[in-house]
Amino acid sequence: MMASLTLLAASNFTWYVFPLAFVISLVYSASRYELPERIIRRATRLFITIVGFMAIVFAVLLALSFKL
Amino acid sequence: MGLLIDKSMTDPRVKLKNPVVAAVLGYLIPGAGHWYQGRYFKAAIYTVCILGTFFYGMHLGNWKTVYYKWTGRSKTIGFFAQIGVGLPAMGALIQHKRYDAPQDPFHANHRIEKESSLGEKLEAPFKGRVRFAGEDAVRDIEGQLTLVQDGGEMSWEVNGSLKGTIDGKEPIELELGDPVEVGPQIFASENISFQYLRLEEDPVQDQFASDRRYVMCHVHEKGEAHEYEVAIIEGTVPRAFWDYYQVPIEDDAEQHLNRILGKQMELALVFTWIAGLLNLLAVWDAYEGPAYGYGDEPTEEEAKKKQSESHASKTKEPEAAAAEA
Repeated sequence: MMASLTLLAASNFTWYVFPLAFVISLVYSASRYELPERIIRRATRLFITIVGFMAIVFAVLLALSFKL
Repeated sequence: MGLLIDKSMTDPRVKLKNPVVAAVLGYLIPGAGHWYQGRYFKAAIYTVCILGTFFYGMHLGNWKTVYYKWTGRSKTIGFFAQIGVGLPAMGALIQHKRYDAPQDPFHANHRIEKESSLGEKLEAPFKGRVRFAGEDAVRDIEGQLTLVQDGGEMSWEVNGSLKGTIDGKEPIELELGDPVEVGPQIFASENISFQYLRLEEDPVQDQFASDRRYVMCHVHEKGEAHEYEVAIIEGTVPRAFWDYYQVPIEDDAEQHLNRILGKQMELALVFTWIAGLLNLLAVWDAYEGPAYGYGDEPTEEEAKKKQSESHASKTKEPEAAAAEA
């Protein structure tokens, strides 16, 4: 799994945002609540928020650098 | 998303046992405090996520991401984030001490420099090349190398032997002596390129290795009156894992690492920093319990919905009463 992740990320370092966002979301949410369902629900939302925010920033930068 | 909870108290349903013990355990090994408290789901999250991130960062940086160095311009400030992960990063502090302490006589900058460590011995399987005097050919040699430092406090020399085979078949026993060059025992990454017995097909770039230690010796033969140098051997012997893991890295090896890994090295550092910082959340959770509450409290949205529903029912009640009247 580690090798495939490295291989995937070797093509573009941006892919590392997924495992990092996943880990941060899960650990942060786990430190906020005790119930597993609530942790998972909250972690999922946080993960989507982080990745969504990154995607928006990525899209804006891509648009700004269009034909540069 | 805000929440309606009382932050001043830990939920009584969360059994913290001895919070100080849990916090210390949680600091030393991510998730250990929660295993101790019996909070297995969270323990699994912390252990897998934090240790996974930390060791994946180590893997990305060729296991050279975590070390402690505080000299001149070379300061590893990021180590203060990495140390948050506890025991897995603490080896760097021990290695920093070992690295700075006087090492065995076969130490430092490829030269034996210390005079006082008498009787020290280096015994290890050697792999390398040999060239005999008067010959142009460089041949492969393998065998058991023994080097011993002899002499008094004022004068000292290194003697030894190599018993092995040349080109994998011809058995040979060589008497070794000065000049001798041996790589340091405790070293993160060492340049092990051939300097004396270089071949044309060898790569132009310097070759670095952690688990190999550079050795160069001259081969002596006793004549009737004198000792003659008859050959030179150059190669490597193994370096133990604990003699390179989390050891402070030298500038040239660091530059080499940055050259071959590029941005990946920075990313590797980020992974280990994040792991250390995340463990602080886990430690606090082990000590104080979850920050927002147990998890069955209504969210702000749910509370608002409930409030508006009760408000609506309250406003409906007088209307209904008025209608009835």
